[in-house]
Parts: sequence; structure tokens; C-alpha cells
Amino acid sequence: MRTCFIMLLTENEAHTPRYSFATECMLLLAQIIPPTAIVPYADDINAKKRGCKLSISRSAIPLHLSYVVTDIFTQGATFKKDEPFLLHFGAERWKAANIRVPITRQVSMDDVHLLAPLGEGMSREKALDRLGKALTPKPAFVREMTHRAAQEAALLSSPMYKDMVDQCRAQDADMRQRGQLPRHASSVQAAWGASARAVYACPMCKESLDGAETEGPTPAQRGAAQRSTKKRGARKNNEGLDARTRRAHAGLERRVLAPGAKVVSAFVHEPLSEGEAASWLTVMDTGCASRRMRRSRLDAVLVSFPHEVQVVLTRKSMQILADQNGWLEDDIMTAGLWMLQVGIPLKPL
Amino acid sequence: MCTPSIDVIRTSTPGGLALFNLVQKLWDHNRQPADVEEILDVINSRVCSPDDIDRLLRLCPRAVVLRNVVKLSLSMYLAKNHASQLGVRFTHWRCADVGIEGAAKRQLSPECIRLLDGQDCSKTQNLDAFLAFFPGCRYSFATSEMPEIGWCNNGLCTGVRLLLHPDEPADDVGKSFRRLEKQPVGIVVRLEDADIGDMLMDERVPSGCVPVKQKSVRFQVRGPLGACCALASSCC
Repeated sequence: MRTCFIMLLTENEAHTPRYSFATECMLLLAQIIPPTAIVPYADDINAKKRGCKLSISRSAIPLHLSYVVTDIFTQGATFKKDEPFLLHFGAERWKAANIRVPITRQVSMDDVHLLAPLGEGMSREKALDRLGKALTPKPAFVREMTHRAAQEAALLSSPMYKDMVDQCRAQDADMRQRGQLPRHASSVQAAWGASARAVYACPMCKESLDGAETEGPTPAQRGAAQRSTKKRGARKNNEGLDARTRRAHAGLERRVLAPGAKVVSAFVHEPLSEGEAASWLTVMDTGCASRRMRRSRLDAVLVSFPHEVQVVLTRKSMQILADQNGWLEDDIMTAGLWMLQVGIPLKPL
Repeated sequence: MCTPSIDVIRTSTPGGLALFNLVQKLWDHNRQPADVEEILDVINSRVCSPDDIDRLLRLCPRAVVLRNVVKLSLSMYLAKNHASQLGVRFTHWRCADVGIEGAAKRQLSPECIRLLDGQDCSKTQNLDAFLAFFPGCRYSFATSEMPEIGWCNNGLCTGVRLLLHPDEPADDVGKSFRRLEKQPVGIVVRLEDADIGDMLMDERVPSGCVPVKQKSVRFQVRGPLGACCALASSCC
């Protein structure tokens, strides 16, 4: 039994048999539940001949156990408090993403559980050297982040953003004074639940949503809504918006998603202070929503700030924004900056 | 069909603030050597003691690793832990592999099978060699057959029922686990994010569940298996 688990863990360490702290932990696990599985080991066959192909026909059920996942799987996930995750970094294949992603999926430091120390089995100097190299970003990445930071700084200094923060705080204080809880994510999620038709709306054109159909309107109603949209669009152009903003929103998609469209929600539960607002995008990683949207073929992302700011981003709109603003399509900031720039409240239909 | 909401780090708690600071350091581009040392120390301060592991095992933890080689075996181990915590019987089996080189189909030699079992499932057409079942077992899909209901790669689901092969020998109830001789016909799973109701109208499939049936794939493995290939050819 013990041999079995030593093999299990040493495979991670470049096939070098070694009795480590992690092995010790796993032996403790093994005493609780006796293993019965056949643990495979590949390094006992001295395969000198390479380049030969073996054709196999395999019959199995296309499921695999999801108890252990790789860091790639955890991108876009948030670990729940009642489902603890053990992290094991091993001693090789350290990259910036490998280190950052599993740690930043947690909500609190108390939820981070390492099975073995980072740099286990190597000297401290070597571990520091390798960690430093792994975390050193590439020049292109630094350029991109600098560009984002400049945009973010410009945004935070804008009066529109400050007004929005003040407004949110005032509303929050008012609701607390009246003994009401701030609007919670669950209520929003209920409003956008399985039966809801997720409607994308450009916040600048939000009036048009008044006529948008959610339950399959008649053609006459649809025509009236379109006419109404045109009129309001004409009024909107006179509201003093700058030309760039108008251009940015003119091409955005306005459509009703199909019934049952998949929507992923991202919520910020607590009111943001200015410092937090500057860094929430880094921490919360809304970019996971867009990655998830692509991976799971979701149709839209609903991002909800406390109180009034709730925005649905569709795949196409994110692509348009990325093209127009020069951001990456799979960009954290695309959603976040746009929302903050707009700063106009939206309500779910 | 909303997926679970994405939570954020809450800096109002001490743990949240500590993680927030660590994340800021991880993303800091002007990092000094002292900062790297601090990052290492902060991360290593969260290494589990044996008592911690004991406590976490009762909560049926999952794990994140960087290599698929570890993933295969550790996943089976944590699944057993989960089964024992739920107090249900553990069933496991292996897939059926047949070599197709040459004129006639031949059964692989034991050495070849053992070597294949150690392969990453991404190199073996996303089908694991070993699979397990118990009511409540957590699975993720390896195929993308019905993305609209969440049946896509890495989509999560929970095991509900096992559909055994008709020729499967009788169960020995004396054992604490069951090892199947034949590949099961399928596994009935409950999808996490989709509510499909009584779509299937089959009494063997409970409401909200779908049966995942067997699948056969062909693939080629290179590298060290070359020696095994020669071995298999010589044995058969």
C-alpha cells in the first residue's frame, strides 16, 4: 500500500523516487482509506526504442473523475467555501499562470491549502530563483498591462466614475438606514434565472429596451418598438455625448437572446472603495467570464455591480468593443472599463 | 440557466485581505528579490499539516495539480475518500483496449495495458483507462456532444446510477468494493447547470438526468510505447 503511494507522488518529481513531505501526507491519507486501485507507473519500462506508433481501439465511457484538475481547468472558476481544494505545485513546470491561477481562485487566504511546500525538495535559493523567473512577465505582457493601467487611471479620475461611486454609496447608506439590505446578487440571479430572456442592451440606448420583447411579441409590437427606438435614438444624439462614445455604441448589437440562452453572472457584492475599484478587475478576473463564455458556448455575460449597474455583454458586443478600442478580445478590462465608463444604471427586464 | 455566480475576494476579512495583498504582489511587475521571498513564505505558510489534511478529507476535497500524471491516480484516491464519507459502495472498472495493428484484432499484452494506463488521457483520446462509480460521484465530461445542456468538455455532473452490462457476473456483496468484469453500458448523471426535466421519459433515467453511454475511439500513441508495441507484437 505504501509503495503504491510513493510511486504516485514521485512520478510528479521527474521520476525520481524520493520520500517527501507530500508523500508523508499521502501515507497518512492511505492509512485512513486503504487504496484498491491499481496505480500505474510508467518509468519502470526502459523504453529505448522511440518513434514507433501503437494503434489502439479503446472503448470507455466519456467521463472522467473531476476530483483532481489541472490549473488550466480552474481558469474561470471560483472555489466555493464548502468545497475545499488542495493545491500541489510540484517541482517543475512553474509558470506565472501556474502559480497565479490556482491561488487566485480562492476567496480568502484561509481557503488556500497546499499539499506540499512550494519548492519542496530543492534548496531555498533555487526555489527563489525559479519562482522569480516564473513570475517575471514577458515584455509584451508588461506593455499591455501598462496600457490598461493608463486607461484605468484616466477612468478613475473622470467625474463620471466618481459620481457613480458617490451615488452607489449614497444609495447603500440610504437602504441600510431604512433597514433594507442592498440588492443582493441572488435577487438579480433570480431575475435572470432559467426562464428569463437575457436581453442585451447598450446602456446608452437603454430606452429602447422598454419596447424589447421578452415573451415573444407580435410583429406589430415589434414594429412599434423599432419605431420607438429610432425616435429615442434621435433624442439620444442630442444629449451631449461625445462622438467617440456614440460611435462606440452605434455598432453594438441589440437583440433578444434565444429562450434558454446560457448566461453566466459575475457579481460584485460589496460597494467598491476607490482603491478596490482600481484592482477588482485583477482580483475578480472577469476575464474568466469571457473565457467561460467561449469554452461553454455561453451567449452572454451578465456583470452586476451593487445597486443599479448591471450590464449584459454578448459575445459579439465584446468582439466589437475589442476591435474598436484595441483591447484584446479575451480581455478582463473590456467588460470592466466599459461598464465603468458608461456608468449609467440598467435594470434587468 | 445561470452558472454559479463568481465571487470576489472580500477584503473586509483578514484572510481576504491577506490574499488580496498576495495577489497584488503576484501581479506586481516591479518586483524585488525580497518580494519574491515574501511570496514564497506566504504561500508556504499555508502548507497543510497532517491534522489539516485529516480535517479536509472529511469535507471531501478536490485538488489542483500541474501535471496530468498525478491527476490520474490522486483523482481515484479522492473519489474513494468521497465514497467512504458518503457511506456508499465503490465500483470501479477499466476500459477495454484492443490493438488494431495487423490483420486481426489482438488483445494487448499486460505490459502494454499497464503502460497505457499511465498515459495522460489527453493522449488517449480523452478517455481515461480507469473509471469509478458511486452515487454522488463527481464527473466531468470528456466530449462536447450537447453543449446547450452543459455536456461539453470539462462540464461537471454527478453520478446517479450505473447501467451494468447484461453479462456482468453477480455481485459479491461481501466485499467493500466492486470491480466490474465488463464495461458498463453507461452511467446516468445529473447535470449541474441544466434543468432538462423529464426529457427522456425512461424509467431507468430519473428526472433531470441523462445517460452517458459507451464510446469507442481509435488513437495512436508514440514514444516509449514503441518498445511496448514491439513487445505486444511478439507476445501475440
